[in-house]
Amino acid sequence: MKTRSIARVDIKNEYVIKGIHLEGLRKVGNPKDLIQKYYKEGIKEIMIMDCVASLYGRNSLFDFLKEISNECFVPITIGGGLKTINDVEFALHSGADKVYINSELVRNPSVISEIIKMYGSQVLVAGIDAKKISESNWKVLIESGREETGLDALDWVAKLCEFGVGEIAITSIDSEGCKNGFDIELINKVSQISSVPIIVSGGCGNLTHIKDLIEKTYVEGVAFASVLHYNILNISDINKELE
Amino acid sequence: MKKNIGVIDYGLGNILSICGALEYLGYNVIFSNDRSSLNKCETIILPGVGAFPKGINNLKKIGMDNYLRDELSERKLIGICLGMQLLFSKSYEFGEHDGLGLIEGDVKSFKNLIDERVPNIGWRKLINHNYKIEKNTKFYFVHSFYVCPNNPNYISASSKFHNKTFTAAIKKDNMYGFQFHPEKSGEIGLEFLKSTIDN
Repeated sequence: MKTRSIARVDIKNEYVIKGIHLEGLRKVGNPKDLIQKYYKEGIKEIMIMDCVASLYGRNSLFDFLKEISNECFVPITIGGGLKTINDVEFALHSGADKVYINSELVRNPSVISEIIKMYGSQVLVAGIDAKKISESNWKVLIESGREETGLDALDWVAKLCEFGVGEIAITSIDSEGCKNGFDIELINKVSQISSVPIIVSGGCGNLTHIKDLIEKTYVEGVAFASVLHYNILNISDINKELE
Repeated sequence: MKKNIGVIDYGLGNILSICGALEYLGYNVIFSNDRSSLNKCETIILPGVGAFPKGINNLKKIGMDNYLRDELSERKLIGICLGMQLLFSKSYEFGEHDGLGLIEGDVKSFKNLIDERVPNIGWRKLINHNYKIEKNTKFYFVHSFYVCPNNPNYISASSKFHNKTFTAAIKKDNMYGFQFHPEKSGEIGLEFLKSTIDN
């Protein structure tokens, strides 16, 4: 089975930003321009992360998503500070196909069944930010890596699958933004446990990293940020490796 | 003169995507569950994302199940994803539920077919079809259930999920169904949708 490419676009106010280890805010461009560029270049999916929940509460989210979804005909996932069924409804009615929720699933896992009963499990991408603490052990952090949870990442993957989420999006905090390759061990462990499709995020720096990932693991999607925003790789080369 | 395309409003589906795609293609979209509005359209789309029981119940609540059965011979009907599944006799999602019964056959779970991560989510090629598309064209799929038409003549395309072949598209008279989302499959998907509507 083949894997799909996903552009991860983190937005703060009107800029796309990029960090390292989930921190640091370097402005890299205009969100709409970058998203359109990636779509035209053949990206298979777009993940928009609103880093300061700045798009919500104003109707700018609706306008922003509506514009994007009128021009980019690939699946769009939106995330960043989503908490309630109302947030989800708002996101979906604004043009998102899926919602990415991370911190709130830890704080309030009962929201999962509310969401999937209403919209089906395929709408919910459960995000996990994992940090390595020792050999074959990763912990879950929330709030963009700022808050401890006491959860073991692999246990949390299993729990989320039990709760009925549609996909697991796993980000290695250690690899994220470093362009030094994916955390293959983490991905394989998640792969063994998850009964739902996996999206991997964090670490890509070159095509060899992707080749390595494909050779050693099977995941359904890979999200790219740095390599796209800094023009390190082009999308058709990425797609060739994944497909 | 723009062609009128009806999109059934029954509370499910990513409506902005399908309506946006149709408008982008130059059609006049009538998003409705009112018979007289939909009757202005030569082609009707039944979209759908979510669970089968909710889908069929929502259609029944607003009488759109009867509308689709009554009006079938008068116009072209295109079912997308859950919309295609609803056309069938019965689904096994969350129990056993009757569908519209417009195509004989059941809707079954991948979980009973193979032991792999479900849903099938990603871009897949089509096989065993006569579409005028390039061999390696891929379309976006996201589904946990697949249709099994009793009559193989209604299968217009198949695809594979971990080496298991399943029905990806159907055609019966003027009724079309696609398990994949042409409105989410990039420019190729849009062209495909357009050629289905226009031909």
